[in-house]
Amino acid sequence: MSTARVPRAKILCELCHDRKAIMKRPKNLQKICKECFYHVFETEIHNTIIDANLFQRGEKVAIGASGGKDSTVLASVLKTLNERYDYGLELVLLSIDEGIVGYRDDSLATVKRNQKQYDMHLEIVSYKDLFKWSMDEIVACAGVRSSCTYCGVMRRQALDRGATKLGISHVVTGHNADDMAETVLMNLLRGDTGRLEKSVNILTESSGSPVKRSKPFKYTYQKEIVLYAHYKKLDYFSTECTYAPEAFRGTARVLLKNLEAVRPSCIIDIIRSGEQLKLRPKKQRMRVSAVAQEVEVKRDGSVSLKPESSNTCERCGYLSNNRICQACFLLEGLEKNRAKVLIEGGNTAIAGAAKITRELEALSF
Amino acid sequence: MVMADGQVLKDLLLQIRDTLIKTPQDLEVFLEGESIRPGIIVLINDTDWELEGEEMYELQNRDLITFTSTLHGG
Repeated sequence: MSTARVPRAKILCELCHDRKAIMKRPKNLQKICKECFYHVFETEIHNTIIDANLFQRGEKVAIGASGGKDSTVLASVLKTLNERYDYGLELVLLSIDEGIVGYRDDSLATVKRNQKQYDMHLEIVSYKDLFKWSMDEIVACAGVRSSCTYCGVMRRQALDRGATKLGISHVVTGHNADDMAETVLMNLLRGDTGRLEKSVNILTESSGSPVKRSKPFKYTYQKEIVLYAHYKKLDYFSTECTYAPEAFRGTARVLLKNLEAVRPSCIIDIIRSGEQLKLRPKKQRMRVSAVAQEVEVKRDGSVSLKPESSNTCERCGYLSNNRICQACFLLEGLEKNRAKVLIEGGNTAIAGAAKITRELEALSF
Repeated sequence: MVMADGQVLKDLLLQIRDTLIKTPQDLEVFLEGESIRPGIIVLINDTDWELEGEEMYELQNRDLITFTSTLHGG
């Protein structure tokens, strides 16, 4: 086995030519030392922020904090940059409690420590409070397969509502270059051209939400985030969600990691390719706007100036382009099921029930 | 982990496979074939293994080898 031995040789940093190199950057294969790594890592994120004109002075910004490595590094780096370059931002941690026993309760404990470490206000909004359903209950009722669908829709709204409650209209998330390249690949493989174009934007604003989202780590490699957290000894929580990960995303991730092993720059290359994609506008859009301009003539001959449907959800009153928002629509289906399950079994509404269900699903007879 | 003299990192991977990993599910998140699964960051005494000869790195007494997976969510 041990025929071709590599002797220990000290490799010098290619930037300072002084200290020992400790890592190889995936982006450009540069071998650099710890101090130079911190410097280029932070400076590149600063440049991304400045180039995209991401923040306004005096802006209150919520950091979507899960306790995981990406959001923990994001909180740490934004605090550092805000002080170093005097952005004049007020930074707040915003966490979502999905209600997943054995996963989110542990990671929230990490966020609570981060709150002290970074001296930031922490706001936690829970699915249970907002929607009357925890993820454990949803999974017990709807099964584990659709869990990511529910969780995704609810998280989007929960983040919006949490931010709005704090009077904040900008949420930053820890999505990194790997996540972004993964999403580009997924949309490409699914032929989802509508999402493909939007998926590489650093800042997203939608008419259905008063809160804009941005991704300062858009060009930051996962590997460098992990190493930054490791070398800086940041306090983060590292466990996969106990429920099924998005199956197709997993496939795209493995594909991407295999590509990265052959050609590390491919992650940035995929993002750059995505940025260059400009799709021809769809013809249908003309028709849609024609419909929107129709006015309703009431029985007494009067004309309503606005279409009947307003831009709020009938049920929860939250902003929505449809009569009922997506979260309420999904939960409506569940409510019907809950009644049935309560009659048949009656063991749903207890914490951790989902875990039992999951274990039962995994058994084979 | 106790290793024989003159062994390289590749030998360590195989020894971990043979002695520490008990189920096939655990093995596939660690190795692909006989090599480390892409997406796992390996550090040798806190230095990126890509700078240390990767699998051919000759193990020294009291070396600290770290494996960090980037395959799961943030």
